[in-house]
This record gives sequence, C-alpha cells and structure tokens, in this order.
Amino acid sequence: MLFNSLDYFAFLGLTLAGFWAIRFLGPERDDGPRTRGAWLRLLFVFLASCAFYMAWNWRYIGLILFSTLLDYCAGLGIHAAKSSRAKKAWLGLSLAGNLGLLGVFKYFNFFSEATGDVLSLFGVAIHAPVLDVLLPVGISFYTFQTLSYTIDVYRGRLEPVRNPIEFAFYVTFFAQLVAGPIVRASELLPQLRRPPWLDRERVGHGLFLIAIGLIKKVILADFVSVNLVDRVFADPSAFSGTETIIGLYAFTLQIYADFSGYTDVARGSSLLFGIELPENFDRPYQATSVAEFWRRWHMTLSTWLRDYLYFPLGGSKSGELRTYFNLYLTLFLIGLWHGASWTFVIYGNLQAAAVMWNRYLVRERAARRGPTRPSSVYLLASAWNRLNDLLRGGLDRDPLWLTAVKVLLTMQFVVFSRILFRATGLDNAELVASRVVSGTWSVAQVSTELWGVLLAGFVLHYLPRSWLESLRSRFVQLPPWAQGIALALVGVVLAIFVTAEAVPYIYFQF
Amino acid sequence: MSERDDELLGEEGSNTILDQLDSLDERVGSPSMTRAGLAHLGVVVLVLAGLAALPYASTDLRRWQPWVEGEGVPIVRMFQGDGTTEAGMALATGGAVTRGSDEAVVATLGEAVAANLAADDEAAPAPDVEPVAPDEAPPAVRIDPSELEGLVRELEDPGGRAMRPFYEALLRTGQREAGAITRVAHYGDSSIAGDGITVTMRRLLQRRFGDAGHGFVLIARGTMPYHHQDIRHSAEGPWDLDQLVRAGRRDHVYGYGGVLYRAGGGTTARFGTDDRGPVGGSVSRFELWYRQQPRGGRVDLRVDDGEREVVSTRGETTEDAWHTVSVPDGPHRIELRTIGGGESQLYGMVLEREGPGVVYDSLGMVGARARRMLGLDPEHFRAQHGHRQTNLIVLAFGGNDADDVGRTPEQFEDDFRQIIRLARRARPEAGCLLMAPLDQARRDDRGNIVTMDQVPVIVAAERRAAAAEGCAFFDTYEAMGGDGAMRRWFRSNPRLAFGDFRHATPAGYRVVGNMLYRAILKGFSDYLTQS
Repeated sequence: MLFNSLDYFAFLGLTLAGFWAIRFLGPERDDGPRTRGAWLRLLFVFLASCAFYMAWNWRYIGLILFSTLLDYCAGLGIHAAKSSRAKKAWLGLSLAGNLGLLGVFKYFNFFSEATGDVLSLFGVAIHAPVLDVLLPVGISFYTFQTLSYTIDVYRGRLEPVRNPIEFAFYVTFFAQLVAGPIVRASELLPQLRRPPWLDRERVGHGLFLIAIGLIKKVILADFVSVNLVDRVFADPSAFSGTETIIGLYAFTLQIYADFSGYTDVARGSSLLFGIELPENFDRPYQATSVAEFWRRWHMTLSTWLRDYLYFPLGGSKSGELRTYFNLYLTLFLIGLWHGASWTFVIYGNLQAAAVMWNRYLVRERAARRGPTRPSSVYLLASAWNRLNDLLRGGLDRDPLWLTAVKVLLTMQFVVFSRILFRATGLDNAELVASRVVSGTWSVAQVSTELWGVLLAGFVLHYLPRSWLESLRSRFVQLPPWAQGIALALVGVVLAIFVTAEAVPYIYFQF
Repeated sequence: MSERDDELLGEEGSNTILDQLDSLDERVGSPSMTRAGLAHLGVVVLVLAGLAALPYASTDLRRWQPWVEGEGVPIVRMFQGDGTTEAGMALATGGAVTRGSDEAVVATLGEAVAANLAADDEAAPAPDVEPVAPDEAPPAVRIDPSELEGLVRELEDPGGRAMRPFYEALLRTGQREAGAITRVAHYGDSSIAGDGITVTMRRLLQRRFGDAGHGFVLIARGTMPYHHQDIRHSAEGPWDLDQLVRAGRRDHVYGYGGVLYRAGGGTTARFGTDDRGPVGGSVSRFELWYRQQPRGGRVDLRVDDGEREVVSTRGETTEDAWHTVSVPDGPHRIELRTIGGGESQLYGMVLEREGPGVVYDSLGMVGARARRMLGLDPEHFRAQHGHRQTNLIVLAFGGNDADDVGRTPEQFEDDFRQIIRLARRARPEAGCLLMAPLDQARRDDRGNIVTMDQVPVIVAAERRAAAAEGCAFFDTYEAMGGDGAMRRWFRSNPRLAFGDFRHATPAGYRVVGNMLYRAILKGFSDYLTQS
C-alpha cells in the first residue's frame, strides 16, 4: 500500500478513527501505559500495521513477527541474565537471528555468486547456490530498528519492554515500517507510554508534512523518473552525453524527493496519532563536504551506524589508522546496506574514500601546529588546504561564494557517484559513464516540462529553511476549513501531475 | 560548522533534531486539547470530503472524482494483487530485486508473453559457419520443434507466397552455400530506431544461420534515440541531415536508411566491430554508400591504423554509388573523414562478411509515420534495394499514426497499401512482411492506462492492406496481449514498457523480437515441410 494512493488515505483515516475512538470511547478512558485502553489501542494499530504489510505480500509477515518475538524475548533475557556471558548469548542470538534473516534474503545470493566469481579467477569452478527468494519489503529498516532495541538493553541504556503488544507496535508501526525513519526504541517507547495527544498545531503540522511529502513524490520524483531517469538507465546508448548528465541530476532530485517525501508522509501520519518521528534529511544537497552530506542524508541510518558500529569500534579515539578504518567500515556498510551488488560495493568504497579524505584535510590543518609527516597525500591535502586559505582571503570561515563552490563540488561527487547507486549492474554503470563522456550534446529528449520540474526542484532545495517554516506556520494557523481547501487544491495539482498508477518508493526495496 | 563537527560522522547525541524530539516528547497535552485537535482534524476531513464529492455532481467532472465504480474497493483491492507491487523498482535495486516470481510474471503478462521473456543464451556467440565445398552435399535444414517453444502468434500469409523469397534465401544460407547471405531490411519508427527488436532478431538469426556481418548503419546518429548494438559507431563534426521523416528534399533522395548526410569537410564517422556482443565481432567488407554528383567532395577512409584512401564523390552524373574496402575477415574499424573539395553526400556504411549467414539491417526513423515512406523517390529506392540484394523487407509502422485521430480506417489502409507497393516495386524479388505496432496507450480521464482508440483500427487496416497486397502480416499488438497490453507490460516485473506507454523497455523489445523470430521460424519450418 503506497502512501501516494487513495487506499493509503482510506486506511489512515480508518486507523486514526479506531485509534482515537479507543482513546476516548474505549475502556478506562483516562488511560495510562498499563490500562486496558492503552493495550487495546496498541493492539489495534499493531493489527492494522500487519494488514498494511500484508497488502504487499502476506507471506513475509512471518519474518517481521519472528524478528519481533526474537527481540522481545532477547530484551527480557538480557535483562534477566545474571552473568555477562548469558547477556552476550542473548545478544548474540538476536544479532544472529536478525542479521541472519537479512543475510539470507538480501545478501546470500550476491555473496554466493561473488565467491563463485572469485574462485573462478583461480581456476576453481563451482556452481554457486542461489536462493529463489524475493527481497521482503523494508527488511533492512525493521531489522536495524529491532537491533537497536536489543543493543540498548544490553548496554543498560534501556529497560526491556514487558508488554509484548507495545513492543510489537514499536517494530511494526505502519507509518515507518517499510522505509523508515529507523526509530530507536528510546525515541518511540516513551511516547507510547504516555496518553496520546493532539492539538491544532500537531494536526496542522501533520497535514502540512503529508501534503509536502506527496508533492515531492508525485510532482518531483515520479515525474522525472518516468520521463527521463528510467529511460536513461534502461537504455543509455539511446541518449546523448548531455541528456545522460541531465538524467543523473534528475535522479539525484528524484531520490531525494522520493525518500524525503516518504519520510514527510510518515512523520505527518504519525503526528496524527500523536507520535513524533525523527527527521531523516537536513537539506543534504547543501552539504559542503561528503562527510557533511552523510550527516544530512538518511540521518537515522548514518546515526545508527555511528552509534552502534563506529563508536563501539573506537570512533576517533583509538589512533589514526584505526579511526580511518572505522570510518571506512562505517561508510562502506552504509553503501552495502542499500543493496547486495558490486555496484554498491564500489559505491560504499567511494563514499568511504571521500569521507576519509575529508578527515585527512582536517587533520592536515591541525597538524600545521605540530610535527608534520610529509607524504604525497599529505602534500596534496596541504596544497588543498592552503588553496582554501588563500581563497578565504584571511577570513576565519569560508565566504559565501566559496561555500557555494564547495556545495557545488560536493554535489557533483554525489551526482556522479550515484551512477553506481542507480545502475542495474556494472555493465549498465559503465555504459552510463561512457555516455556521460561521449561528447554528444543533444537535449532533444528533455522536454520543457521536465526542465521546469528539475529547475523548480533544485531551486526549492536551496531556498532558506525559514521560508518553508514560515509557510508551515501560516498553514498551521489557518482555520480548519481553509486547511481543507488548501489540501484539496494540492490534490488537484497532484492529479494533474500524477504520472500513471502509483509509482513505488525507491527505498521500499532496501 | 566547526572543524571538529566537520571531522567525523558527528558526536554522539549531536543530532539537534533528535535532541529537539526529546524535548518535544516531554510535552503532554490534556484530553480537552486533544479533543479540540481532533475536532479540528474532523473539520478538515469534512471539508476535504465535501470538495472531493463535488465532481460527482456532473459526469463531465469524472476526471476529478477520487474513485469511481469498477476501480475496486479501496484498501480491499490492495489485498487482491499478486504480491508484485514492487514491480518497476527492480531497475533501481542494483540487483537486490531483479524480477517478480514466475507465477506473478505469468499472472501479469500471460503465459505466452512470459515464455518470451527469457534472453536464452543471449551471450553465446554465433558459431562460425563454413560454406560447404562444391562437391559436398548440402546439409539438411530442419527446424526442431523445441526451437518453436514460446511461439505466441504465427505470421499471417493467406496466399502463402509473401515470405517465400526470403525462405528460399534462408534455405540456401541454411544449406551453407558459399556466399549465401540472407539480407533483411527492417524499416520502422522509434521502436526500431533503438535497435531493440532488431538486435534480438539479428542475434537469433545469426546464431541460428550464421553471422554475415552487422549490416547497414547510418553515417551518424540521426534523431535520438537512433543507435545500433553490437557495433562501435561514433561521429563528430557538423553533419547536415536530410531526413525522410522531415521531408524537404525536392529530389526525394534519402538513401536506403532514410537519411542523407551532407558535409563539406571536417566531419568524421567511425564504424567498427564490437567483440563485446555475441555477434558482429568480425567484418571482411566495408561498403560506403553515397550520392555521386558533379559538386561532390572527397572522403578519406582509413581501416584500422593503415594507409588512408581518398574516395571522390564527384562525378559527371548524379547517381547513387558505392565504394568497397575489403579486409581480412576479423575485427576491424574504419574511419571516414570528409576532407573538402565539395560537398560529400553520404547514406551509410555496410559491414559484411562473406557468408553464409544472415544480415539484419535495422532502419528505424524516429517519429516516422507510415505515409512518410511515400516521400521516397521510388526509382532511387529501387536502386538502393537492388544493390543491397534484399531478401526480405519488413515494414513496422503505426505507432505514431495512432496519434492521428482524424484519419479514417480507409485512409490508414490506403497508407499501408501504398508503402507495401513501394517496397514491392523496390525489390520484387524480396519477401514482404508488415508488422503491426506495439500497443500504444495513454492515461484516460481517471488516470488509468488504456489502449489508444486508433490502435486496433490501425492494426485492422494493416491486416487488410497486407492481405490485399500479398504481404505477410505479424500482429505485434495481439502478440503482446491485445487490449490493455501496454498497461500490463508497464506493470510487470521486470518492467517491459516505459511510462510514456508508447515504447517498450529493452526487455520489452527483446520479448517482441523473440516473438517475431519464432513466428518467422515457424513460417520457415512450414515452408521446409511443404517443399
């Protein structure tokens, strides 16, 4: 069930009605966390969430329920265990169970085939086994979400959840089940234990987010996808170099609008239940470095890996080489999280290399105050930093124009490295890259409407945040009838732009 | 942003938005506040529902009705799918999701179409076919029934003679007669210009009967997305194009491929074999096709890194001409440069081998309607095909004609009859095959993807025209699944049609190519049985 469909809004309306009816009309109306009313409310949304997931493929609901049960028991087991060894055993069980599922359904075939490929280089021919399974929608999201719970319980940062329905709600909440944000238990559970509440501001904010999310999805993401991106990547040789480059920029816009649009609808829908979800994007294309980009893009994934992988490995506190390794591994895994293929392996490596370079630049600047260790990389970093200082013209921080240049350069890295993200394989990526440098200039296949949408999309991304905030405030302050009319107008615009039947969200497949 | 912040992935707990969330979490609203909020939401929903109900007041506003009868009950219909809503996302998965389950694919596309999805052994190279010695008995040619598995639709040839010249040539090729090359000229619109259907045909026929070279290629890329696969081809410089689809030439001379390239000097074009594909890896003869004329310029040709050879396109008379460069059979490339001395007028380059084998010329013209072909000078067209020694002319038009809502069935039929006659006159010795367009769809006022009204009209007109003119007919539209096929192809996983609902994806064109190949092979099998 896609957010950009009538079905979703019918479903959302019914679920909201049931949820709030139980809150005010059900048993023990003044409900606290352990009353029958709260239990019933959570159970109702949990069942609705299961139905929501089963609308895609009922066969895979068992996987989520298995993850839920496993981590519920693991949380209690860790808490009850007397010895450190027993705690570790429970944690190991949770890790093995969750990552095992992810491994089987997402990574097994790739690693099996990759092993076969590598062995064949040494003249060893094996018939790599391949599993005939579909990738369950959202598996990478809910797996990471439940893992954060067990790890936090293990670290003693979180009390285990006693109420199985409360935990099941946390894992399966439909608004963010299939494409995030990846919500920590420490962020969601406290909200479930308080009576849910709404006010005009929350309602207005929620509706505004839903409208913005749909505009991003339908007008920006789907339109450029259907009218250019899909075709460029399906048959690169049919497009000129210029058209291919425009296709890459279009994909950059598409993936942001698609994913952040999903997040907006998820957050807006949750707000109507009185639940706040974390933001997942912070205008990523305004980043001045690749490291900053990853702090602004899919923030709940990068902070997840930071907190549950990078810091436990020692972060930046375990020596220079180790820090670079930690950075490398984290960024590499961010790449591989998206998909099991060589394209994502290379994509992860590229991102890791860029972030390591960012760190090296910072260290070089700091090293000027202490002993230096000249090397070719050091000299390059030094030259880069000195050029930067020169361009700053003696200022402590970058002037606006230099910031703009850095944003532009970072953007180019993001755009062109995403050839690997979007390509269907290495051959496809090579073909797209070869078209980029083909030196052919036609733009005949880029329609006027597409130019307009691309321009509008990027201009909106670079507008000051305060403008959007101001628009949101104005919407929130409108009387309800005016909000209804405004939303209806948005609906009309969406109906004009809608490409065809609802186009699935890109991140559903991860 | 401080340097410290910029250094790493951020400090633990440094996410200001999450910090803000923590502070928001602490707020608790009272029940009365919540009731007010719900009342607010209720009014918004009522206003929205009221406005959404307005279009139901008039059938003219049907386009704006959120739901109409027959679209399935919202929510309930979501449980009636085939579990492949992920369809279409496969392109972005980088391999994570490549296609839906076989059952789901069959459910969406139908068994017959699904059977043609397989790119069976696509990477396998065409075997080398040596001609039989003059004193040797030719091998028997037969089509194994397993080769026809997946046959969706046969060719329609009521007279049984339209394809006979082609089958006769194919039989000689199959018997490995020395130099027996079977040549196919496949004309069409953008569905052909991308070499999707034709590359499938070329690969399958060459793997089955032998690779006699890539065939005819335009000098430079015409209107995008014209391009050929299994060949290296590039062009630079300010080529002027006279295109049949845009007409404009008073002499109606556009060459075998429908485009005439003009240049004084400083332009280049490169053609070469490509060892990355299953066919097209060798060539033994390059042939430049050009227009000789009194003010013709000079062209410089260089094979591989060898000596340059200058070809003058100047002559006392204005007529079509050819220049052949022979090379040892194998991988080669040729570079063509216009070097002034007048205006060179070029049609294209042929890459061929000695045979026996098949050559499949892909001759798509972006934006072409059937009647555009009538802008060709018949005599010139005849000379071109006479030189090419074509054994089969395939005419695949109708997709763009579907936009011509004002044209009657009779006018369409007349268009197709005329282009069949043009082809017949150009090469009476060749077979003739009219190929119906792919299903062409549009969004209706409800946003549903529906077949354009003119498509079945055009297909019927083509069938009548083919029967009347003694040309064979392949009903691509029905082979795809008939009415609504484009919608199903768009929704299938893997996706077989693009979101413009006019073109297939490469996978979709491969399906069409597979279907056409099997139809032709079935016809050939019947011919062998009868003869």
